[in-house]
Amino acid sequence: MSSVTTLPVKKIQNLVTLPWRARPTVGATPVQVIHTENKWRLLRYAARPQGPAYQTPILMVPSLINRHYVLDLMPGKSFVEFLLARGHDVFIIDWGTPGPEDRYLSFERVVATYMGRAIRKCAAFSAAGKVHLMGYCLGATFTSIYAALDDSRLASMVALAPPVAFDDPGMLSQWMRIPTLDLDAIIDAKGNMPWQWMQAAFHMLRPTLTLTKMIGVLDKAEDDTFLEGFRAIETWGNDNVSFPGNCFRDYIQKLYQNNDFAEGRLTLMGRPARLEQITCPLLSVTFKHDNIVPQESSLPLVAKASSADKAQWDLPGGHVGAVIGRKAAKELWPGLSQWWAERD
Amino acid sequence: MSPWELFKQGFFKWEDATARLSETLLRSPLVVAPLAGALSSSVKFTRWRRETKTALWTRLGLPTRHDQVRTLHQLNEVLSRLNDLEEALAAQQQAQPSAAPAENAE
Repeated sequence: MSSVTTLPVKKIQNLVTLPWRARPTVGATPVQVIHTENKWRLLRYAARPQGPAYQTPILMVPSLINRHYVLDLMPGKSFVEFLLARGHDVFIIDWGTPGPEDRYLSFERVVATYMGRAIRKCAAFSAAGKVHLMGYCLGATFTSIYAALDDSRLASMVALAPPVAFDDPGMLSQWMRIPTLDLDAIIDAKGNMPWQWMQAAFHMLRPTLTLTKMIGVLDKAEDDTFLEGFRAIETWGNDNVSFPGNCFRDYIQKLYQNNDFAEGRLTLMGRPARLEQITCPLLSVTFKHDNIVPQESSLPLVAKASSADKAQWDLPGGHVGAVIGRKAAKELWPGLSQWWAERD
Repeated sequence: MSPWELFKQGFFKWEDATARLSETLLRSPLVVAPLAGALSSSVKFTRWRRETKTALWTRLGLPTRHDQVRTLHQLNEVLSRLNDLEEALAAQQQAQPSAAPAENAE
């Protein structure tokens, strides 16, 4: 029972001791560092004792501005752990923390050079020389652009909540097109786009969310499992990363403001990145209550790709909860594992 | 229904209405345009202040922070280029594995 007027002892004890609880263990699955370059690292998760069951490795590309361990949140609640137990060979890019010098880092360098190198290094571990590429949020934008440039090393691509078109009615897209917003002045003054500013913008999408979370904690404070999961997600949610300046400028001007990628005008390394050039097996997953990436932003990926094997899943849930929550462990994770197994 | 459940019901109704109002306001050009303009003006002032300080240091013949970060970035670019060349070399060596046996035959 969860009534404020008859609080059980366990609930009161948990609420009072909450600030002094040990920090949650996040991103705990053992990794091996395969490659480092500037601030980013290619990590390979330790395989299960009996070794991988599948020969095609999975390379996960998280958002540049959030920590990679959202996909390996905590023991028992980790998508990576789940996949390893199923026999997959899992790699991930840890983008690291940009320094002041990374204000000059271009979008091209991050997507084509850094991510391209991660793909090639990961593919070297595969007998067929190919990888299953998976991007999440901004990571999915990167992987979609890369696949549109060259999908020869991709056994498949999975895009979780991929922002591809930016003429959607979402608030973020609208804000980035405000005429009085001087992006050049912001980047010239700040260098990298500060994570605090981006976090504030995400908060403004639903300012009442913090209060909603507090009510949720009060409601379920007697549940230790809930509290640990909540604190782990909050640890990740507040561990944000600044966006390298030039990369941010390119991303906003070319993708958000001009919508170059969705409309077929984007070029990287002098080559066109056209959605129609994607021919590898493709799966795009969107979430019905995602207030960060509206479904309209993601739909052009599957609609325009030339892949013979392509699908669009639209699942219930929000941007983060639908990927790492309890329901994901029962539906999304097994679904993706099966999808990859069928395309090994 | 318990008082807590009643409270939660009321809270979520309020939260939903407030979130919708907030979204209406934050979508309105009358609100966001001046806010964006104020933000842009404040960073322009920050930029002007930094450029003035940089110009002074440069006139004194001293390296500025801009020089330092620019140099560090170029170093990172050189290291990336080295990685590119190492990859290209490894790919070439993989594509020409018969070079060593031919030398031994001579």
